[in-house]
Amino acid sequence: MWGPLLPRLQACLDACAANATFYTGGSFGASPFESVDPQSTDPLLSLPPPLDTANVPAAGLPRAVEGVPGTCRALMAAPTRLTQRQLAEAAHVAAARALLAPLSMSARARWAACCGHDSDVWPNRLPCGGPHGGAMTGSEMKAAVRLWVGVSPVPQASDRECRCGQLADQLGFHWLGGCSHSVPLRTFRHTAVLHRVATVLRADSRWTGVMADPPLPAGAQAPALRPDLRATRVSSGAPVLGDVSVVASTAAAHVSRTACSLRVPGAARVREAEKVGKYTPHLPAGDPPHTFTPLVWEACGRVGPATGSFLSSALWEENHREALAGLLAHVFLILWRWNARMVLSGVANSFRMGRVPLAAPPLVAHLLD
Amino acid sequence: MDEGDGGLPARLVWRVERGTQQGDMLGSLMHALALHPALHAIAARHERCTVLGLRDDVSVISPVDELAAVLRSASELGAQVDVELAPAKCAAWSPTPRAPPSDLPTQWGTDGLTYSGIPVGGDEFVTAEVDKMAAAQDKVVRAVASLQPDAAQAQLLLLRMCTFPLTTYTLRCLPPAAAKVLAAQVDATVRRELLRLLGAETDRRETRKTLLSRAALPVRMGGLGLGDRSVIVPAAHIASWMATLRAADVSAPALHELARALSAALAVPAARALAGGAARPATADAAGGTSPAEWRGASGWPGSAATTGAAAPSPLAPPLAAAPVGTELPASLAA
Repeated sequence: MWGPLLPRLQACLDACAANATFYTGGSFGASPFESVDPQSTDPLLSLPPPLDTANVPAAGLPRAVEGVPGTCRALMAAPTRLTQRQLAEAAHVAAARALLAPLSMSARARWAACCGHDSDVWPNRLPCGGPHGGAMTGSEMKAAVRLWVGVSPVPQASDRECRCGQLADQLGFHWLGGCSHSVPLRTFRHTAVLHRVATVLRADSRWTGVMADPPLPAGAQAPALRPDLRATRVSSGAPVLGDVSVVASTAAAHVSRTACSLRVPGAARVREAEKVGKYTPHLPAGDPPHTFTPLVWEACGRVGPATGSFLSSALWEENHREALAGLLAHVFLILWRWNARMVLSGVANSFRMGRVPLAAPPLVAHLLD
Repeated sequence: MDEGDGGLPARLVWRVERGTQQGDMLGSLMHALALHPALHAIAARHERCTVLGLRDDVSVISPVDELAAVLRSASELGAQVDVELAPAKCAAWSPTPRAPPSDLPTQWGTDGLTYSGIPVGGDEFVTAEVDKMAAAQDKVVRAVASLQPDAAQAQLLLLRMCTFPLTTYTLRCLPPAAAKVLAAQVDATVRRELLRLLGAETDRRETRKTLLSRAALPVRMGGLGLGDRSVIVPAAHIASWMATLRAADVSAPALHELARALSAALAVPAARALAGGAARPATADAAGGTSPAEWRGASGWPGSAATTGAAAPSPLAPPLAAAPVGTELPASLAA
């Protein structure tokens, strides 16, 4: 009775199943698209070892269907109706896994650093004017988007030698974390994030005495620890000290940790632990006691777990969703804006390597002797 | 404005003389409430007809010889609820080849009709309409591309949020073979513009391939959500049918019967033949390094009649063609 309709639906179903299937003839180990760091009761003190992803259940990406049913009968009998979004996500996850499989660990880390729950914030930001408007210039946006999708930030990129004497990768991640010549720009980035956090806290009536870059206490000497932020909870009168940091999640020290985790920003977690270990033992005594919170983001935008917890609690109640979402979105944008600026600046101030092989010594090595 | 205690306005009233206010979230519901009695009256007067309404679009499936009477009834009964029928905007078509009815000279379409933006008709008609859709999409994309060079951020947003949702709706409604053609053309258009927008036209082939493959993924997966229409065509078609057949308020007996048939059916024997090439190439390297762009040619859609065998039905045949052989098919009338 139904003529070609039933075979056509079955053909569609077969195509869905084929699109949602990741074909591979070999094993590539645990995929970041199926991994998540084990939960810890204390995320700051109990860091998971890198690449500890064996036997961890699938999580991280939006939950795609666990395989597409093979028959229309199964589709009709399923307890809940499969949506187009679920079926399409299954295809996207399979496509992503196929793209991911042949990549190097560092390339996986770069990709994983761009994935996650809130990672779609900055590309979806409307380009409004004003200091917090979210607009990016054309060149910055192009460079940022190219970095985002894993290609070089400028067209026809070639291997380059940075002014610092290091060989820069074509993607320009050298300038995001390891280059001494990009320190001033990284400082601008740090300052922009700090002042954005301070501005949001100042606007919240539950905080008082919010001060960015507070002066050292009287009598303290220059090498003393100097947190970036100081604020006081109105309800308890407890002073809170914070220190902002942006960590390059794709730096060599963090590559394996980033690549194995889509949901948990491993690099930010490590930096948070370092910050807590650095500042907490030296908190001033007082009643109520001082507390310290790290304010750590990864360079690609993911927020550290302790930072996220603090911001959620700090901006809780009626303004929670708007204020917190606005802060995270704007910091995301700040980070990508400065990422683009740093990379573009680095490219502009570096030397094209031409056909010189990568193994060759830096052209300016003689200047360092 | 009604004044409350103390001379302050207790409420503001915006009086609408006719229809519903543009932008009113309840406007569609109020319109449906007003139109509902008229649709019921039409259905009661013409018992052989199926009357369907979606906001101000009304469609009737009926024998051809009754369509003109349905039009007259719609005009008469609609006037009772202050709805004015626009005969010039009505269209009628039957999948059974026949001469235009003498009482529907202007409404009759020989090849098909466009219902809620979706072409319904013969292969040539649907193909031509799909080409028009692709051309319209290309025009929109070119308009986005014509923005000033410094507007890359706005251009990307417009591409992702304005041009693609239109296509998604269309892919859910078109026959899959036609949807595949449209998706391929839309993807090609968007990819071309994306490469130009990001200055990647002069990049190496591998770089362009990486860029387009990643861009086809959703943003939360590190992509841009651009250029993935070809991948989601089967998902859109299946999901659309499931949404229809598993809805709690399916009223059409034919859909009830189809749901029953699907619930009882195991694998359809002809499906594998129709789905020739459904599986991805088995020759894909062990690393799975083939890109989605390379799978397009084997994404599992029915091929042409020449490749699927003489007994295979036309992939462009609309669902209406599923009626028993030898019976005259009903006509559709959309207003």
